[in-house]
Amino acid sequence: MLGRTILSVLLMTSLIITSGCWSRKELNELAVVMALGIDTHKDGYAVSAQVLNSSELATKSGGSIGSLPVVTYKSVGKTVPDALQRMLSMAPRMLYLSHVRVLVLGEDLARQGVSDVLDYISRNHQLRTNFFMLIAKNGNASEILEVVTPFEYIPANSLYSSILISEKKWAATGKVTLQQFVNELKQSGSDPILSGVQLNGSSAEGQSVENVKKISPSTLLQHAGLGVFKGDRLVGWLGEPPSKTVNYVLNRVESTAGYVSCPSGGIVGFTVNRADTSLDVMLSAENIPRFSVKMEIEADINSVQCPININQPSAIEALERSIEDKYNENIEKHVKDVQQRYGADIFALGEVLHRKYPQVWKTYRSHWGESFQSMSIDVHSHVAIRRIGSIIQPLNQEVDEK
Amino acid sequence: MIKYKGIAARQFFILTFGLTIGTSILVTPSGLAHTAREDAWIASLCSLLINILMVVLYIAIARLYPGKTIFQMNELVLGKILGKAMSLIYLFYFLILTGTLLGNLGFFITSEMMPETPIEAIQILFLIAAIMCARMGIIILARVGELMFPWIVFLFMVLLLSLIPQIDWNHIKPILEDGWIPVANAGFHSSMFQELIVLMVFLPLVKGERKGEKALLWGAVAGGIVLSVTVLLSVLILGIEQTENSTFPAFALAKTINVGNFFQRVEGILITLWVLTFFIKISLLFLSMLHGIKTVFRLKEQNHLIYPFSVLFIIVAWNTYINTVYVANIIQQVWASYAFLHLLVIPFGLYLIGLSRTKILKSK
Repeated sequence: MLGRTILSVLLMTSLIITSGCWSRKELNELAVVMALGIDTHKDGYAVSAQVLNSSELATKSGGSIGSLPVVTYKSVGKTVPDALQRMLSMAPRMLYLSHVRVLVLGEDLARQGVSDVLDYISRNHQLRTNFFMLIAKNGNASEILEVVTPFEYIPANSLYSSILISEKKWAATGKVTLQQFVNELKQSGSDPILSGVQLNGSSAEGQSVENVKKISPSTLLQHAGLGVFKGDRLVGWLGEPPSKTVNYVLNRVESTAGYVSCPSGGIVGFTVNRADTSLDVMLSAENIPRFSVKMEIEADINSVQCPININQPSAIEALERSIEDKYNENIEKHVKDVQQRYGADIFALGEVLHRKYPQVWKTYRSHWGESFQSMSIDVHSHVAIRRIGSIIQPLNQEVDEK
Repeated sequence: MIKYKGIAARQFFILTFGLTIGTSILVTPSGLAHTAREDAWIASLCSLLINILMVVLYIAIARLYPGKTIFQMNELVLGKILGKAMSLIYLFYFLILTGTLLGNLGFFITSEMMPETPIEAIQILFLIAAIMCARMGIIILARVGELMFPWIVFLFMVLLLSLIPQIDWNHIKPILEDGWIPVANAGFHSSMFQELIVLMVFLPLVKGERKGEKALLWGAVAGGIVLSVTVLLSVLILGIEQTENSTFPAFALAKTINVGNFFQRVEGILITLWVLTFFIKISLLFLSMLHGIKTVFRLKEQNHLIYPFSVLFIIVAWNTYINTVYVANIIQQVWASYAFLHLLVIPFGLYLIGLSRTKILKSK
């Protein structure tokens, strides 16, 4: 009995001291990649990786040699993992991809098709599927990863949070994750979109820490509308209003701002607080689908730049109607534009049809790209103005001559 | 130490539950999504139904020969020589099953969690646990199961609840696009992976009249529901394309957990869920094979066979699980019909012959 006790105590102690992991990787052996950029190159792919310089990040004072919190490595390879391996000829540590927050693809690459690159990204067990994807508009992904940003120590985090906030408050960008992108790509009734990002300023100046020492940094990263994909190829860019339309139709608008003109000239600005969109499809007698977009919008007036008498229920109603008209007209126009110019179903209308009338969808499935261009889409919006802010009448009102 | 004989009905329920979930939770969603598309979850319910039918069949056989294991029944029904041959066929089936199970576990861990650890190290470590369990016997396993069960339920609830915010109902629409045929097909296919016949070895050990039968039925139902929920969640969250194209959809699912940017990257913990059920399944198979060999060759003692068997398992594992694609192909094309033979055709034959035999005996 005593022997057994001793044995079990021995075993338990060895459990504590001999535990470990076969393939353990300590933090000081890893180079944590925060952002990946991929561009085309004549020899395959040019990959850039923004790597966390952890020692610089941890030591705020003392020990720091004043280097930047991140390092961007660049290399070329036939495949993405090949290029990443080659990066080890420069980086002193093993690249660790689990914490990638942003994946930036160069515009050239996006135009040639992104499937091959995304295959590696989805196949690798380290990479997760919840990072955001962006396209470097009019440029290379590597340039985007070489800009020192204000506020955030780590430029990748800056990109990440600016997507989050701009999507939430501005609604002209898209926070698209790999999972979402692949789903939209693989479904036969939808085409993907990706948000664009571009340099506002020169690439050379943005690379040094001097950039953020100025009160107005000479180079900033700027989100620039949505890129339209047809299949896995980028076919064009949408400006700000069409990008917002896409987000409205896809029911991804949380809040945004807009304006509408007054009957007597001038404009009234409003904030959208809630927007709810539902897509539906009806069949005509000849089984031709007809799509409808129904929007419920709640708005607050945020600026009145014309002399109207806002103190009247009828004035608010008139504003509501004119906002509705504007929405109906603009969204219809922008959707038609996407239909005709790109023929890419980024609104996933094909999936709407698929869900509601699977049998009809079967006849369209193989040539949805062309059929989509001739589909008719009606927009019905309903706007309710809730609040008008802290003052009632516009300051611009003509003084009543009593 | 007081020696308990027999398993409590509750413990048997847990064993059934573990066996049902076992490997299926990792592998089946992908096959279901491939064939049944948006209706994978309905197919999974179909598979539950088929499993219930099988359990009813097993119970019917068990009632013909109360207190006998499947191997003993073989001999009673088919006569000594044929019966032993049949038992050996079953033993071979169990052996292949154990091998693929070990292989599956090894590939799962090495491709998703620890790519640099040799697959052999993981398999051998796991096998050591199974060996210990085999030495201790079924009663200990039943108690271990009882200890594990709350954890399995807890982890599953964590998985379920933390994924709710990400659900997109559009992924499962339209319902029944291509009618019932692909759904039934996929359901049948997936029902061949919950080898409940293994439990026919342990059913006689359950204490209490008819309680074991009830436990078997409810265990299969509970396990089937967990599987269906997993399939439903995979499709609702990953979408069909990614469920179909993932090597281990349930793990891909766990990877997407993110509650308020705070509760995330927990798949390493949730993996316990699968490893625990794997353990129950492999230990049950191990014990049933020992028992089978003992019955067939009329051995007095079965524990001497544990080590040779474990070596055999490892060898089978290394040779059956050559690579993921090869196994996926076998699973898609061969396994269902192979398992169908052992899970339904033979038991049904046994039942018919057994029934006529007992009838004749009675009429005499």
